[in-house]
Amino acid sequence: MQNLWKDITFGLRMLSKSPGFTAIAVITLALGIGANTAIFSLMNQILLRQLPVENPGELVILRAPGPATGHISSDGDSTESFSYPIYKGLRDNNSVFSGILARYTFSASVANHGQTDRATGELVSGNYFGVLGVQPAVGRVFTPDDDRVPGAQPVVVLSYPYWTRHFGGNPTVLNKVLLINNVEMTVVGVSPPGFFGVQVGQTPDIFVPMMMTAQMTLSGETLDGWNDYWIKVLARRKPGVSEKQAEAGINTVYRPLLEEQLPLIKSGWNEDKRQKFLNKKISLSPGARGRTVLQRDSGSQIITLFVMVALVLLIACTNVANLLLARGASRQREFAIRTAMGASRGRMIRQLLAESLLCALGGGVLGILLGTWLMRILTPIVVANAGIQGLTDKLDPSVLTFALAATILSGIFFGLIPAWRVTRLGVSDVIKDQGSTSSASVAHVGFRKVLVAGQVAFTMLLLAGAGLFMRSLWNLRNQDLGLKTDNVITFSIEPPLNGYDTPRSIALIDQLRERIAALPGVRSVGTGDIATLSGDDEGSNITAEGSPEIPEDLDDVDRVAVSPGYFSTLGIPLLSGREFREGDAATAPKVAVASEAMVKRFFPGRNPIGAHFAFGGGNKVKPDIEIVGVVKDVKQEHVSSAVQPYVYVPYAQRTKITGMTFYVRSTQDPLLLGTSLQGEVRQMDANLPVYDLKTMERVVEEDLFSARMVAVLSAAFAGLAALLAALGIYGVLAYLVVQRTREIGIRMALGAVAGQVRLLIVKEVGSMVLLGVGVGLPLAYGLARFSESLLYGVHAGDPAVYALGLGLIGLIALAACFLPARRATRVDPLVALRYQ
Amino acid sequence: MEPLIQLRNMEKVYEAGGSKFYVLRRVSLEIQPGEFVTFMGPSGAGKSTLLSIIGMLDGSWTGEYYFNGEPVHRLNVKKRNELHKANIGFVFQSYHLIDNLTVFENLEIPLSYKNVPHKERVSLVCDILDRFNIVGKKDLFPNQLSGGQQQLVGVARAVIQSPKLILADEPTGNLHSAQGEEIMELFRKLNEAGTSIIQVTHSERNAAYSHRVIQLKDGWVVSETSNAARVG
Ligand SMILES: Nc1ncnc2c1ncn2[C@@H]1O[C@H](COP(=O)(O)OP(=O)(O)OP(=O)(O)O)[C@@H](O)[C@H]1O
Ligand SMILES: [Mg+2]
Repeated sequence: MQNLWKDITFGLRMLSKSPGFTAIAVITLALGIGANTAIFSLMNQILLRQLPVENPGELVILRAPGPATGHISSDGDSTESFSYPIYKGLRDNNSVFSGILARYTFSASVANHGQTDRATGELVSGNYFGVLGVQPAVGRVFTPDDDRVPGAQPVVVLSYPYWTRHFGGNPTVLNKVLLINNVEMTVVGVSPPGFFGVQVGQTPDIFVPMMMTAQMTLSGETLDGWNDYWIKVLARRKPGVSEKQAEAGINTVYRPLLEEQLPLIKSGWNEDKRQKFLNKKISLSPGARGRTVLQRDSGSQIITLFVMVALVLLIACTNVANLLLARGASRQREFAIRTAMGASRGRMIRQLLAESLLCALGGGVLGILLGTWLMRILTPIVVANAGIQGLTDKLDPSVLTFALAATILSGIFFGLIPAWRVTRLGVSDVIKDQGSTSSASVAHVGFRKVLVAGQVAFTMLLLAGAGLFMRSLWNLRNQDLGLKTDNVITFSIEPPLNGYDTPRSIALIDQLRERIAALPGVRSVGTGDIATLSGDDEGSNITAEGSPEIPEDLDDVDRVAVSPGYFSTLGIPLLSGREFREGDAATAPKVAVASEAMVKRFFPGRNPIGAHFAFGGGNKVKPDIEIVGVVKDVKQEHVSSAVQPYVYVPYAQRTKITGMTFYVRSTQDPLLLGTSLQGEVRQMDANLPVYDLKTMERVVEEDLFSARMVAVLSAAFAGLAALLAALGIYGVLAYLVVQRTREIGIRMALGAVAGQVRLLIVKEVGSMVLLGVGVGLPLAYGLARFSESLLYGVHAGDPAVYALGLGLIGLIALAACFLPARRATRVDPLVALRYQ
Repeated sequence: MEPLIQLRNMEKVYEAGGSKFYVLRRVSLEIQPGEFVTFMGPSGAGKSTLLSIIGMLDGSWTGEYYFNGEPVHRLNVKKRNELHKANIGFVFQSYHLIDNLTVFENLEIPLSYKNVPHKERVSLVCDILDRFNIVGKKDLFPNQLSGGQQQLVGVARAVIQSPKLILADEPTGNLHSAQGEEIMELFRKLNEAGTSIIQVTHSERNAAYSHRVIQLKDGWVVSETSNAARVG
């Protein structure tokens, strides 16, 4: 203990004796640890964190791969969707789970005291809170009794954040009646703080019993349809039941349910397909982290960024190790004396480690501060742009643990290697007052060069990665979207949530269009029921008159119900025929506008104008929709999605309207229209919430967010890495020049000219860089292959990117050797030869 | 009485580029407890090398070496270190104090490596500061002392753990003759108090303080002379 204290105080003194070294080391580490803390915080929240529920390790997610037909709603993996009858059968008959819960997300319009807001709702089975082991913060949570009779349980549990946001955390909210999706619902409780449901990235505001499905949802989800796949199911294993046993157990219950369902399947399945259906098996996967939608969508981005930022820390550590080695060489004498005084190698290593750990601790503390600051900047950006809810910018214990572990590991890594090497050298030379320290130091220089080569390798990797991601972003930005985003503002409404039926919805939208068109500064207005570039789509197979034979998996087209003026407002070029007009009303002949890709697939080589088609398949459908126009292809879902065949129909001819998105082209800055647009909606219906009010340019930016985040952050990391590598190269070279001053002096005395001296230095750099690049290129290619799904319009081995990376490394190396080389050429042979 | 140091056929070789270079050749000698011995010889004779071998800083040699009866040639590094820590103090030509430690802390170093408890350490250091008359310098750093004062601290550091043997490699090499004499007087007193001393020196005057002078040349022991006309 005594000695440890000595080591620490001596370490502090040594650090304060060389403030320059200490400052550089601490700042270098702080940058590395700070960036790592911030990225780890995101990774922890998105990929690693377990649900804040009782024994999350017992939870499993249910999937049923195999044939399915009917109405299938999915958020990425349709095998996770179950029908309510199947869920009920599984829940009530199995013996391997202590409980099986069901849930489904819906959008809600919540009216309270004449103010209406949009909220995220979660339809949950009565046992939902019980299975998760979640206790109410106020009032009560649901029990199975709340979920027995369809439509009979108008009760709601608020989430803690929603409660504090809208009711000031006031317990008198209990028994209050709220108008939710036009149904009067009684508040019975508040869920506990920190609880966010079972899906990372979502934060439900309200929980409603599943029996209220018909009242809450718009898309026709049913509680009795065996072929309606929509519910997401999680279960809790009974203690002592393994995942395998649970799987076997649940499948014995599943089989009879499939047999019950089979006669209800109307599609013309052949015997083989029917057998396959009966042999469907439920598979379980770990549910401790909840549903994995977000992990699936953002996992590779986050992991890629984390690998990159971890490399930055490694480079930073290498830099500090390098500095320590240089300093160690100059402290050779101290260690020799200590050895002569009886110090064991272990003791000296411990002393050096104490010093580097102190240094690391300084870097760690500063890094954590920097990290929290970065988190405070990064988290809201991610929340706002990526639609990932529930992320916190607080330093939670696991992030703090990570930062401390990173700090200590860094300290050991960059401290141990130099300590090991510095204390390894013999002492007699130094003690004998004979040798200079040079022989010992020359041995270090070789090792330091290897460290620098390592830095170059990692920097190459980061530069190549950043290059590929920047290139992808550039490709995405320069995509022809098929529409013009400038001067367009958009917003959405969902009238049915406020009790509008379809005719009233259509009348409302008609009137709103008229009023908005009359606003000053508005050039044109159009609406569509699927928001452009929001990631949503709605499709159906079609039957087209006289079309060629089309394989089953290619007969789908996506559909948008739009208004007159939609194409001209969004700047989608009309290639032939006409746009919709007000006359294309409910009672008028059914018409549609087709996209180029749709025409190419279904009417190849024909003039599609005047041709007919119908939604759906089979013998009974009668193609009665006439194509009246053709428009250019548009990126409807995502900037990065492939072009899909689309048909556009007039919304007035739809039999069901859920939501509608408005597009307004203005003559000035479109944001200036924001308040007047909201005002128009409020004048029509003060209780109708307006949401997603933003410019089209912003819509595009949001869609590109993850590509942008990966590109920008990887570029920042690569820049940091390049800077650190340059410092590393510079450090070693500067040291070499001092080491070789005598040699350089002799060479100059013998007639070497400046160019030859410079060549000496450049050769040193060359060997380090070549080694680094040789190792770095394959590594870079490896990372690029791992992240290939994040690339767009550029492949993992793109030669231009790697060439650019190599060029940058060359520039960095040249920049780093500029000063040392200049100093070398300025060596005065006379002075140098007297130099000892 | 058992000799303090007994060397038999000690050889030390440096190998460079395939060729062998002998630094010490069949060195055999004995040093008794309480003896004060001088190594002399031309530059490159192997004096410093022999001193670091005796001091157990250098472990790569052949032959036999008994320290106080212990066969050093059969001990592993750890045991040898123990022996060195317990029995031997060094004094160097260029003092070799640690620049970043105060006089007090420099004196404390050998004790800290012997795990002497803190209290005892402080009292030992205070004793020695007293004995060497340098109490006033205890908080100074080495570069704030004169050469003679630094070497005084160097000697103090060597004797603080009351070693059986002090090894001094040209301890007065960097000092004026007056300062040198002061150090030699110090050695004489220590020797009279029972500490064995081996010094390397080029100076006949310093050699005169010792009981015996051993001459080395090209790694060979060429002569041993007892010193009848010893100073004091
Ligand atoms: N690391 C080494 N490699 C090769 N030869 C060495 C090494 N260290 C010492 N020598 C050689 O060993 C011989 C003896 O050196 P030593 O230092 O013992 O001489 P010395 O008697 O102390 O000389 P001086 O009076 O000049 O201090 C010298 O010839 C020297 O060149
Ligand atoms: Mg010598």
